[in-house]
Amino acid sequence: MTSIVHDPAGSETAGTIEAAAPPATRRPARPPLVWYSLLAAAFVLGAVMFRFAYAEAFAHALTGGDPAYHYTVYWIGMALFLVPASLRLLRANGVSAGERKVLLIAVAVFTYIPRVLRSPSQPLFFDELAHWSQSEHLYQSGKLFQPNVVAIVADYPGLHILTVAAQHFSGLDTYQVGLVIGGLSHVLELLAVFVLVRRLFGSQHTAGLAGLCYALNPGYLLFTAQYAYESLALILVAWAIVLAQEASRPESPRATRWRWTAATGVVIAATAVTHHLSSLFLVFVLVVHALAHRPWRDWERGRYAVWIAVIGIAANALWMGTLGSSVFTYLAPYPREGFEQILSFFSADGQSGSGRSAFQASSLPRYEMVLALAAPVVVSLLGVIGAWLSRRRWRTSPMLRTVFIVSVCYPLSLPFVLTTAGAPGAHRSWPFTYLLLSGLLAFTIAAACSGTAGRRGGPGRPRRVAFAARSRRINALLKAGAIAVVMALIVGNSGSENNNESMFPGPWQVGTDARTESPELLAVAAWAKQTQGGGHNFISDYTTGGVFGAFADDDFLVGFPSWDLYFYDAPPKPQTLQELGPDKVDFMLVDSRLSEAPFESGFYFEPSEPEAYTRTSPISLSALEKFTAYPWAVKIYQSQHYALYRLEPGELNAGVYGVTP
Amino acid sequence: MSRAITSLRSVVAAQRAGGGVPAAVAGALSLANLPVPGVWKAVLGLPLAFWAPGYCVAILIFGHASWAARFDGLVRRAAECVLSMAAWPLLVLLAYAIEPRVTASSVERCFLVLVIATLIRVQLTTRSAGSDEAAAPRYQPQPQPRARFSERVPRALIAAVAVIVLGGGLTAVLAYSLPPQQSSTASAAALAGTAATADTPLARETAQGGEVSVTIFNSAPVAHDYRITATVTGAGTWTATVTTVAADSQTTAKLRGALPSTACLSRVSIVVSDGSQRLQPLVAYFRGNESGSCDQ
Repeated sequence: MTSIVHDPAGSETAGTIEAAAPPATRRPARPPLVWYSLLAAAFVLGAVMFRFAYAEAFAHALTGGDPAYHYTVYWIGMALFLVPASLRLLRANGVSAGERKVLLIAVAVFTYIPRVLRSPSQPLFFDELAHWSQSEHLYQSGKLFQPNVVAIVADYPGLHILTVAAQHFSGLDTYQVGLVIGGLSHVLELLAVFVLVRRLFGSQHTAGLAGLCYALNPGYLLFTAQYAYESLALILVAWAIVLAQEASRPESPRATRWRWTAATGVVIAATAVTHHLSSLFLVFVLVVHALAHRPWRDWERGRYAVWIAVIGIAANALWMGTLGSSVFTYLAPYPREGFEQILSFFSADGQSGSGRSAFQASSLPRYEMVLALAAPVVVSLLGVIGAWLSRRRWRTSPMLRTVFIVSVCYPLSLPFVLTTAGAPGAHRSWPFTYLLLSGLLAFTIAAACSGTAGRRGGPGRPRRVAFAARSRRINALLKAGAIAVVMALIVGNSGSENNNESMFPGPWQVGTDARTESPELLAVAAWAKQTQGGGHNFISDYTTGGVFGAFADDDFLVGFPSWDLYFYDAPPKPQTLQELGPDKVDFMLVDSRLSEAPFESGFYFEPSEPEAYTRTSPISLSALEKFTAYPWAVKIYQSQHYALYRLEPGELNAGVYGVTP
Repeated sequence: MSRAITSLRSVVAAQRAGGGVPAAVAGALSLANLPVPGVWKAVLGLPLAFWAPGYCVAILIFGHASWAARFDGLVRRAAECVLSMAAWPLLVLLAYAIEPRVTASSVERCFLVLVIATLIRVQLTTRSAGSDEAAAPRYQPQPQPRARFSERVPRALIAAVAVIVLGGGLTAVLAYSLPPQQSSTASAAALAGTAATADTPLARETAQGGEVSVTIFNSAPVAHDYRITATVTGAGTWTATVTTVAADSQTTAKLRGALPSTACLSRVSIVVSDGSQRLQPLVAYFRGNESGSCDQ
C-alpha cells in the first residue's frame, strides 16, 4: 500500500521556508541505478526515434512520404521515455522531491526535441518568423518598435530585447538564442507548476504529476515552444503566480511578504511589455486571487494579493495606455465575433456561424483525431473530480479557490473552437488555464494511484479514500490506466492543436504557414536580398509574405487592398493603382499555386478581404498571370511557382501594354 | 586604524555574504568581452544573460542570506532565470528612455549597473551587520567548517544541469544528422545587371536595339543546357542563346536584339527552358526611341 508523501513545508499553510523545514517523511531511498539507466536509455532511444520520423519526412518533403509512418515512429518515440518517466512520477514513495524535479526537467527537454528537429536551423512558423525578423532588426539597427508583418508585435518588445541582450553576451545568432529561450521556457513552465502545486497541496507526489500533466497541454509540444512572445510570457505568467502565492502566505514575516510582492511586481511588469494576452490573463488570475483572499474580511492577510493585483492592473494600464494602445483594435474583434458565432449556432439558420468543423480535411491519423475529441472530456472530468476531492481545502486556501475558478475557463473555452473568430483565442488560452488546471488533474491521478487524497486535517495525516484498501493488482491496473491517460492526452491534445502540416515537413500547401517555407521561396528571398537590398515594401499573400519578408529583409505592407490586384481577371481599379505608388509598394510577389485551392486559413491577404472564410473556389490562374500585361509591373524573377515583380510608379497610367489607356 | 580594520572586515564579510558571485559575474562579463572562440563565448555568455541578472535582482530584493533560504537550490536557480528574463526588458527599456538605441555597450551598461547595485546592497547589509557586531562586547568569529561541494550545491541541481546540457547536446547531434529538406530541382531565372535593379523602362543600347542580361539558376544535381529566347512584342524574336549551367550553380547570359523604333514602350518577354521544362517569361520594358513617341 502506498500513500502520498506529504511535505508540510511545501504546503500553502505550512512553514515559511521550504528549504529549512525538516523532512516530513522518511528519507527517500536512493533511486536504484536500474531506473536511472532505464530512463537514460529511454531518453536516447526516444530521441533517436524522433530523428528517424523527421529524417524520413525531410527526405520526402515533396511528396509527403508516408504520414502514418511518421506518426507511428513519433509516438512510439514519445512513449519510450514518457511511459517510464510517468511510472516513476506516479510512485508516491521512494522518490525524492529533487528526483521528481529532475524527471520533470528531463520530460521538458525530451518533449522539446521534436520542435527543434522540425526546424533546426531557421524559423518556420508565421509568428516565429515575425518575431525573428523583429529581433534581427533590433540587433542590427538598435531601434525598438519597428513595423512588423504582425503589427502588434512591434508594441511588445520584451522577447526581442531579451534575445538581443543574450546575443550580445553569447555571440549566438537570433534563432539559436530563440531555441535556448524556447528550451528554457519548456523547463521553467514545468518547474513553476511543480512549485505552485507543491505549495498548494503539500505533496511533492501531486506536484510532480502536475508538472507532467502540464506537459500534456495542447500547446506544449509546438505552439508554446515556438520562438514567439507567448512562449516567454507564459514563463513569466507561471512564475508571477508562484511568486504571488509566496507573497500571500500568512506565516511569512511582513517584510518578507513585501519582498515577494516586489519580486512579483518585476515579473508582472515584464509580462506587460512582452505579450498582451498573457498579461491580461495574468491580471485576471491576480484579481481572482486577490478576491479569493476576501480582503474585506481580513485585510492583513489579503492586502499583499490586492497590491499585486493593483500592480498588474497598473502595469498593463501604463503600457497599453502609452505604447501598446493598438492592442485594443487588434484584440477587440475576436471575442465579439466569437460570441456572435456561438450565438448563431442557436439561431434559426444554424449554418451562419463558424465555417469550421472538427478536423476539416485533416490528414492526421484517425486515432489522433478520436483522442483529440476525447481529451477535453477526460481533462474536464479529471478536473471536476480533482475539484471535488479537494473541496475541503477551498475554505483555507485562496490559491485553490483561484485554481478552481480559472480552471472553469477551460471547458468554457471549448465551444469557441468551433468558431473562426473564437478558435485562436480558445487555443491560446489552454497553455494558461492548464497552469492551474493541471493541479486538479494531478490531484485526481495522485489520489487514484496512491489511495489517498492528500491531507485532511493537517500535515502528515493522509486521508484514505474509499478505495484505499485494495489489492496490489488494482493498484497496478490504476497505474496502467494513469499511463494510458497520459499517453492519450498527449496524443489527443497534440491532435487538437497541431495539424499534420505543423508537425512534419511535406509538400507546399496553400495557406499553411509551416508548409510555405520551401527552398524555392527561400531562394527568391535570398536573391532579392542580394540584388535589391532590404527595407523595401512589398505585397503578397499573407503566409508567403511572412517568409519572404523575414528572409529578404523586406516589409510586408499591412492593410493594403492586395486582393484588388490579385483576385480579378479585369484590370485593377484606378484607386488601387494610385495606392501603389510612388514609394508605397516596391515589389509584388505572386505564387501561381494560389490558383490551386482556397486558402486553408480562410483568407489570402487579411480577414476583411471579400469572401474571407466563405470562398470555395481559388483565384484564377489568369488573374495571377495578368501582370505581365502591365508596364508598371516588371517581372524580375521567375521560378517554378514564384514571380517577383518590381513596381514602377511612373508607369501606373500606362494601362495594358499595347492598348491605349 | 580600528575603523579601517572594521571596514576591511566588512568588505571581506560582504564578499562572504555575497558568496563572491557578483564579483565572479563581473569577471565573467569581462571574459565574455574578450575575443574568445564562439563556443566559449556562448558557454560564458548564456549564464550571464539568462541567470546573472536574475540573481542580482533576487539579491537586491531579498538580500543574500535571506534569498539563500528561499526554496531549494534548483528552484532558486529557476527563479533567478525567470527574474533574468523579466529584468532584461525592463532594464533595457529604461536605458532606451535615456538613449534610444539598443547596442552591445548599452546592454552591458545595464548589466553593470545591476551588478554594482547588487554589490552596494551586499556591502550595506554587511556594514549594518558589522556595526551590530561592533556594538557587541567583543567580536569573536566562530570557526565554521566549510561545507562540502555536494552539500553546498544540491545534487538535484547538478543532475538538472546535466540533463539540460546532455539533452541539448543530443538534440544538436540529432538535428545535425538530419538530411536536407527534399526540394524541387526546377530552375529559376532572373533579370540581371541593370535590368534587375534600374528603374524601367530600360534605356536602349543603340537607337534600334537593346540588351538585357539574364541569370539562370540550376538547382538540379546535374548540369543542364538552357535555351534563352527573347521576344519583343511587335518586332520579332532576338537570336536565342543556349548556355550550360553546372549543377547547383548559376550563369548570367546576355541577349541583344532589335527594338521597334516608333513604340513608346517596347516589351521584351524572356523565356528560359531546359528542354523538359519552361519557365513563365520574365518581362522588361524599353523606353521609346523618338521624343514624343509617348505623347498620345
